Amino acid sequence: MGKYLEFVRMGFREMTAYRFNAVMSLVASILYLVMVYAIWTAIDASGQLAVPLSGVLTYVLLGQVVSNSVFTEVEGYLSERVREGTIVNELKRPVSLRLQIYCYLIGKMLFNTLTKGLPVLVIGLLFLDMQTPMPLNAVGFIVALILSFNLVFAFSFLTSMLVFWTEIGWGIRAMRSNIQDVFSGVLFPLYLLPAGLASVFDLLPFQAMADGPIRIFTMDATGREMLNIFGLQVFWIIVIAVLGELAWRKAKKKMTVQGG
Amino acid sequence: MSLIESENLNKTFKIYNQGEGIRGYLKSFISRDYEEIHAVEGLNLEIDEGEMIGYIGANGAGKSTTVKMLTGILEPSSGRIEVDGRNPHKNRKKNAMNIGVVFGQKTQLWWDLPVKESFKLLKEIYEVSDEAYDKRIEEFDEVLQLSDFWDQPVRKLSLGQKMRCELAAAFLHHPKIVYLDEPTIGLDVAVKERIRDFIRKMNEEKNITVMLTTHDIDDIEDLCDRIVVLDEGKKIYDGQLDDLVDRFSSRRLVLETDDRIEIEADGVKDIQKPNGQVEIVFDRDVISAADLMREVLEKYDVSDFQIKEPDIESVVKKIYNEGLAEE
Repeated sequence: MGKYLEFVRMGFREMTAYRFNAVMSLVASILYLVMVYAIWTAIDASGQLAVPLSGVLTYVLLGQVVSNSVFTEVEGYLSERVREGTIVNELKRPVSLRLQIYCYLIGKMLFNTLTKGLPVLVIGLLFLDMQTPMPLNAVGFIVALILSFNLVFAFSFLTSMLVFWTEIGWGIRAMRSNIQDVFSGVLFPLYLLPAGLASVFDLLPFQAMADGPIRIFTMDATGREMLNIFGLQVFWIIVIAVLGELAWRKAKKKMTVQGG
Repeated sequence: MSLIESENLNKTFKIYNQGEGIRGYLKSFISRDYEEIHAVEGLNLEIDEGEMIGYIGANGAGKSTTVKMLTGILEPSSGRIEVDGRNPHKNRKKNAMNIGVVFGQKTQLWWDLPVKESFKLLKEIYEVSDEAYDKRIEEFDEVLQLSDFWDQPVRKLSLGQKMRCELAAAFLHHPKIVYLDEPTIGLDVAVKERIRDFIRKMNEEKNITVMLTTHDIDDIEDLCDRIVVLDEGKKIYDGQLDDLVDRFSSRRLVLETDDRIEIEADGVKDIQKPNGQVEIVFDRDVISAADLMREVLEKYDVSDFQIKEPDIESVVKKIYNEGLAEE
């Protein structure tokens, strides 16, 4: 257990070495929200918005809280190491590669939650007309966030396996995270979708990443429905983690390790 | 049974050829031709506990690939490896507890964190007790002087400082085997010296088996009794370093003289005249240096002389360039 905690600590500790970076990305997130608010306010002013503006703004802000906190990425980590061949250093340790990355990213996630997720939430509570959830939903939100982290990790681990074939990670990462933002609810509230399209979104794993936790926070999903969201998250985590494991087994055979 | 054993070990890589220009690039999406590269071919190896062996060969000879297979990072294409009775690829994690590895050009230290953080991680990973950890760090510090930069972020360290850390990191858990892949690359003489002292000390005191790949002749001369030479993936020599040198290069008698020297004696192989001196190449087993000298002095006027011992560097250079076939 100690060794895994140590990887968590290293992930967290490494982030503290880039404090300026953390400040900048918080500022970037706030600027993004200001712009998005301007857009939604303009749409509302034109009379085209069929739902209350405050609900949309709350949703979008919570989307930032979720993505700032738990949207993690494996592609960058792996592609750097595969390209330069330093992956040998991970592979010589008596810990599985997947667990090393997982624990390390938990450390980063904790740091991001404290420095980027929580501040945005506080800003929302102070400046927006936002309701705080009931205690049960507040706890549910945290559980959903933890599951969401695991889901994003599993998905990103799966796509990152492509690095072993392409040797370039940024393209894969950009594609994955763009698709993820659109389909998860980070970009716009999914409840605005027409029924037909919504049923397509329902079939994908992305909704469980952000829309689920947001609906728990806004009390849109309570009791039974909250459990359904957890169930869906767990279901996708298992399915995608199994695919990731299969891909990793193939990647191991494919591995050549660059250079000398 | 030996600690490290490999039998008929092979590793083949496929290298894809990308055609030239845009056409070739597009074509490579559909059909790709590839070449098979035999990085390691039919390698048999036996290394016993406590040995310190030098693993040498030109760039691309397959040294690192061997190390990667022995550490379980790469799966062999065929053949058998056993390290301490285990298949290192199938039991990668178990095997990893028993070994230490330095890849000279690939630091395992955490770039942005102080040195000590990397060591704290290693301590947990390899389950080193607090007591043993403190003792060993103190011991390492004596030879490698780590405390000078213990609290500094790794990115601020010089290459030599980083390599001292890497060495300490590989030996921290007192593994059974340490693989060192070019541990002295790019270092100055003083640091090399210190690193060699450290390696020798660990080998002698803790009986840690060391396999060292290097291009540095002094490393080999200083540390290794036995060497294995690899050429294009195949083992071409395995044995005592001295034997190789004896077999490969003859001694030379270098003379300072104005005379034209012609000696015809058994054991004299060649007479060369580089930069104004005369060098007589001879075989020590046939004619002794004293006899040869006597013969020369009887006939010619010599103002100065010296005997050149065979140096390993020229032997290795020769092997890299020509293989073992000659002589």
